[in-house]
Amino acid sequence: MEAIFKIENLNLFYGETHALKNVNLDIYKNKVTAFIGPSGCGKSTLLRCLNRMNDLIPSCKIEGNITFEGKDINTLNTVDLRTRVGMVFQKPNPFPMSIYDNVAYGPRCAGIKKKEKLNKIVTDSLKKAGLYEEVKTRLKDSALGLSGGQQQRLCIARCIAMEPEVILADEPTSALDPIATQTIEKLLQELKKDYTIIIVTHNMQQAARISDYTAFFLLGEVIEVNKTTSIFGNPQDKRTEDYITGRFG
Amino acid sequence: MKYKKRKIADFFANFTTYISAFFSILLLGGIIIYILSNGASNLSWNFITSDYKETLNVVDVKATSRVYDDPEIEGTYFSEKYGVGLKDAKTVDGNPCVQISYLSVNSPFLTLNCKGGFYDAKIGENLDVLMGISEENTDVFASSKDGAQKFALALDNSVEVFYLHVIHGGGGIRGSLLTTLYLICLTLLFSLPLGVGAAIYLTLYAKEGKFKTIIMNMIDATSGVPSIIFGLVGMIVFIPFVGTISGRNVFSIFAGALTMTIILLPIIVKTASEAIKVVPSEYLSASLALGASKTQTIFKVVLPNALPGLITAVLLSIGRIIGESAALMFVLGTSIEDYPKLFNGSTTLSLHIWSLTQAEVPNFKAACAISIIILFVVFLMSISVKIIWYFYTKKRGAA
Repeated sequence: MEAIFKIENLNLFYGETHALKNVNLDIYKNKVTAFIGPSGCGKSTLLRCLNRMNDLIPSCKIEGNITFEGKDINTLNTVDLRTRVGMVFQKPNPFPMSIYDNVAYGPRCAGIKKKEKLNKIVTDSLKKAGLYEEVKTRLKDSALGLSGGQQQRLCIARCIAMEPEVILADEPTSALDPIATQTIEKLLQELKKDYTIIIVTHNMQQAARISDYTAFFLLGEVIEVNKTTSIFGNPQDKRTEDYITGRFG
Repeated sequence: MKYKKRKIADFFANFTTYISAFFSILLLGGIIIYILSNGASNLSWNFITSDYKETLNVVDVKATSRVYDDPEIEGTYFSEKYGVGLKDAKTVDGNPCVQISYLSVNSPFLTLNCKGGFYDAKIGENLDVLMGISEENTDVFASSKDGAQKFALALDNSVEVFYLHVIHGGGGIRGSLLTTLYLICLTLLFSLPLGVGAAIYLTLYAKEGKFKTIIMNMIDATSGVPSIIFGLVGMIVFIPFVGTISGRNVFSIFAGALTMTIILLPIIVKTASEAIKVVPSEYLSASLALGASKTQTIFKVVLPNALPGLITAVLLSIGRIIGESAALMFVLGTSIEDYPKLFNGSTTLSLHIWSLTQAEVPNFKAACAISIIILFVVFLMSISVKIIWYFYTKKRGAA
């Protein structure tokens, strides 16, 4: 199986804090990988390393190697990397613009100006994100008028519009109600066909439901990585077992 | 017992706060009422739109044998010999004068002799300093101080008026108003790009550290420097600098705008930085995660969302430009011009007030009228800041 991301001996420091300790991990193409673990264990930090969003934090220092399709991500242009590795955030964060402009934002920044092309991208992305039927009559309305779940799907549509290879989802459903969560989960399942998805979640059931692979994090270390079915059915490490059975966390 | 003591202490504390509040409101209200009561009568469209400098025509005129019919208008004193009606009036800036209120058809005033030609007097023009000769060959004098009645009588007594002032317009503030507008536009043109650029650098690019702290502290410090010091700097630095462009080392609006720019920069940098800081960081990361470059993010996401704050900065700046006088005295001068030019000195509204009160006969009423205009504009600015923020927060609240 082909690994799209290879993480080798990754150490990350926030000032004095050693946030990620010697992480080795492979992420496979066109699979859903879930990062689970208690709060502050470094799973979101690792996710943000993958599209170099940690570059924005001045005190953050990274050692080790991450390769994306065989290339060291530090040698890639951030703009280029981030168009290929999209991200969906914990809190739905559409721009205070119209629904259309939100989806068209990325392509426009990438230099696409033709109206027909933009229209097509917007419609396709919204359809893929399962939002088109709900918003097709009000594409010019403000995105802030949508419900939380719709906003999050809009953010996914906005991400898909860039035609990325990987979608990083940082607890995408933690701010949503169960019904909206279900919709998003279904959506991620469908997107799996075309994209590699990495999802950070607090919700172990969610990880079990949607992921193919699961990595368990504890205090900045990767304790166990395996197929989701084995992690939840037959955990190798005592700590993993304790966590998934709810002894701590 | 203890309780009673506290009650008394509370009473005195309350009492002093009420008294001080009352006096401060009384003082502020008093100033505004004084300005309004003195200036309001003088405020008119004419005052705003007419020239400051009057045009004075020295004319002479001979009576004809004809006698004109008195139109008998209330308050108008009619000279039958010259067919001209006069009334007591006030000039645009509030001084008493004798004004032409009626002209008969064929009145000799319609073809007055003046140096090198004719001058036709118009209704609304003022007369002053009359010297004439009566039928008995005695001298006749009159001036505007005598009032319209005596002036009309003096006219009727003269067979020939060999010296008379016909005064057109004057006393208005159009020139100063224009200067103020020029100064506002020019200053904003210089200071906004600089200030907003600096704010973008300081909030989004500069690394945290000693350098940034020093810059920030310096900006804070400069915003407290008395403006007269900037005025002095403007005079020493900017007037020669503008002189290299225009060729003359004189007061100029251009130098004034440069001086106002350095006065306003700290204010604009601070307000704009605050405006940029309150843009949610999620927008920033969302934009960057979509593969937008930092420049694109700043121009497409950060600045549009900081717009209310930036408009606030502009409005505050306009208020400051209108109100500034001490610093501008050094670079704009204090001579009132009707046709302000970019590379010449002239006065803003505030400096116009100063010039009026420094004249031989200080004209406090006109000064108060200008003050009303300034107060009104500044009031308007602060109200619009409030309104903008109200709608902005409302829009955010809907999110």
